[in-house]
Amino acid sequence: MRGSKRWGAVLAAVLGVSLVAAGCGGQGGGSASGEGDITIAVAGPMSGDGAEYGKAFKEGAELAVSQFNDKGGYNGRKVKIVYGDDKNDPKEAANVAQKLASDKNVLAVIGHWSSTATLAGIPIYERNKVPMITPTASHPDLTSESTKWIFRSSTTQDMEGKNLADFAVNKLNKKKIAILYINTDWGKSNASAFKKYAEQNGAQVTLYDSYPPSQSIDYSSALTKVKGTNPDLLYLGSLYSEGLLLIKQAKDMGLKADFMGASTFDSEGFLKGGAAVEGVYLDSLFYPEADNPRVKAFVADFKAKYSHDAGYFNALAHDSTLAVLEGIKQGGATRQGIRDAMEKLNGFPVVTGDIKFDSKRDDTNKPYYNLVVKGGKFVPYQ
Amino acid sequence: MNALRKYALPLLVVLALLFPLVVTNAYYQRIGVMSCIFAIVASSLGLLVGQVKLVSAGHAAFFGIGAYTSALLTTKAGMPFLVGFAVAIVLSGLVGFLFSVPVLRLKGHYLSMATLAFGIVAQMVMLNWEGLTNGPNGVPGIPFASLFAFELNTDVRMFYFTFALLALLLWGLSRLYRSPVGLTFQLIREDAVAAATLGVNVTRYKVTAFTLSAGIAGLGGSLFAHYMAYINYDTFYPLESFMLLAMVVVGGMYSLFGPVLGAVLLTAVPELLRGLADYRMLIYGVVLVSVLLLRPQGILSGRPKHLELRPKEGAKR
Repeated sequence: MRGSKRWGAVLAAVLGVSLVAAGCGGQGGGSASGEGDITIAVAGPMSGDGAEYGKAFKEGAELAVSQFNDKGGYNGRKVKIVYGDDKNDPKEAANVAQKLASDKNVLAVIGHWSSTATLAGIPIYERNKVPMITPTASHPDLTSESTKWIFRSSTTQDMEGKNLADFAVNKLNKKKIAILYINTDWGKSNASAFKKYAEQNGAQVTLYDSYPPSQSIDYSSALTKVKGTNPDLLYLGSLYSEGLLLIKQAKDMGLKADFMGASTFDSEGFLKGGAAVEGVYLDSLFYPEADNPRVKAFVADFKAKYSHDAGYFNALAHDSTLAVLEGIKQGGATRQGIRDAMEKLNGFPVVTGDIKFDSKRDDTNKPYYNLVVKGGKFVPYQ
Repeated sequence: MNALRKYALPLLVVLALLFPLVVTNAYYQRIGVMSCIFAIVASSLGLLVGQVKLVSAGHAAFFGIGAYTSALLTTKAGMPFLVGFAVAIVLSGLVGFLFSVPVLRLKGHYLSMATLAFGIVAQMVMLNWEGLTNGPNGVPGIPFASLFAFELNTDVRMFYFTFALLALLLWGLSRLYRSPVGLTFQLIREDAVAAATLGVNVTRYKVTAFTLSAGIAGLGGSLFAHYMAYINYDTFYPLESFMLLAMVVVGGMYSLFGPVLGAVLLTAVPELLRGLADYRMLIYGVVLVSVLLLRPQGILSGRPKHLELRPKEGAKR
């Protein structure tokens, strides 16, 4: 009796799973040609630790798509977005990538957020020939000449490091620099690029150390080392949340140095640090008060739609989406068409610059703004 | 009723073999492959937890060692897949052996704490030994699994390969569980002291089980790495060990097929619920909790009655 019940349970479970799977399997196989809506996907951390970034992607992409549709869409066809939640976990990212790639209606993917999740998705997009553009993942090894379907809208760590090192050494005249970074693929490449160019510009790197990427809240051991080397600038290759804690704790310790971070600090959350973050230097591809009509229009439209201010990640996601939409417009509503058209974009105007992809399909054509926190706001460094 | 029991296994096998032919969507095939891989890893843990009552809370470490070994050998040293695969099994088994010899002196919760610590240490090594593991960058560009010249470069091929390995493993385990060695494992599980008084070298059996289990987990790791094409330390975090434990417990730790069922459920359910977006993890959690409340012994229960040496429940010492 017990035994047969047991087998019954297995059977029921397996049958159930396969039935559901088979049932769902039918939907994805739909034909791509047709006069209905055009589907593109946004993939990123919609839940979990990175959910705020997934939301930023969502808002930026939605704004671009709704404006595109308001102007008539593509030959009268509307574009709609489906979302893939990767929870910023490489295993989930690969599943999401396969789900999107298997759905023939999904013509392009805007995502993922972190370099790790993007690296997990890339082999699947490449194999299935789905154009993918990441708004934010900045690891140098992410794109290559051989991955024909992979695009990147943000610049690379190398270019950001070059700009920040120039800012620190040549503009701020800092000669003794300590570097702390989060030990992730992002943090590592961010800090090493900064270090390389800082040394080339003649600065002395007094300390080059990392901290582990867990939810630690006490950085005193790393900061004690920093203090011992008596730098005049502490560079943080950090996300803003730890950056905030690091700066507060360093100030409490009495570290007499200025602070600099990367574009990851360009976030409303960072400014909530109040007095602690006053005077912190950073750079960004997006400055909402820049004297540029495209930026002004974007900021105003964004505010009207979401009633809060547009941020850096909103702008990058928006621009990646514009690149995909332009790909549809020029190349037609097929995966191949979008890819080919995107590759040929040459000076296509978006909020953060003019898109032109290089031979690795990186958009290396964007200017950085050097910023400083002043009066609770990001303002350009003069 | 007996007929059901008799035909259930062949029926299941036939259903599984038909699965990638009927379901042609690569995403669902991917869930199938992942289910097979995790069924292998969960079965390795089931051997420890269910048969010998060694609760390892760091099994993702062996899974990860297998994955990294195979990935690094094929990408950095240019070895063929089968070499990486074999070395992954041997090396994770060896690490399991070396770890278990001193640690198996510990019992119960203390053993679990030690394995948990080992899981964390192993992950930190993957993260920080940059020269070997690429540190936080992980290992990209891992080639497809291949059997000599035959590349397992589609989800269908990978499904049949992983399913065949799973079937082979389950066949082996079912033989093992009924063999004198397996019966000794179960004796140790029910009462280690009684086993020792009968002249059983308890530690030696425990070490054997641990080594075997670590090796099988490494096998699963190798499959995982070549299927994902990219791995980094993130996947082998301590929480993954608890995920594996959950598979074993939900499915039923004492049953041969329990961990398999648990692995299939815990792999497939979150994916099938993807359409529900924000409610996905909530429902997933509710499903897990209800299983544990309604069937605390796991979905497939069945601790064999004839082996009960303990005083009946209620007569606690």
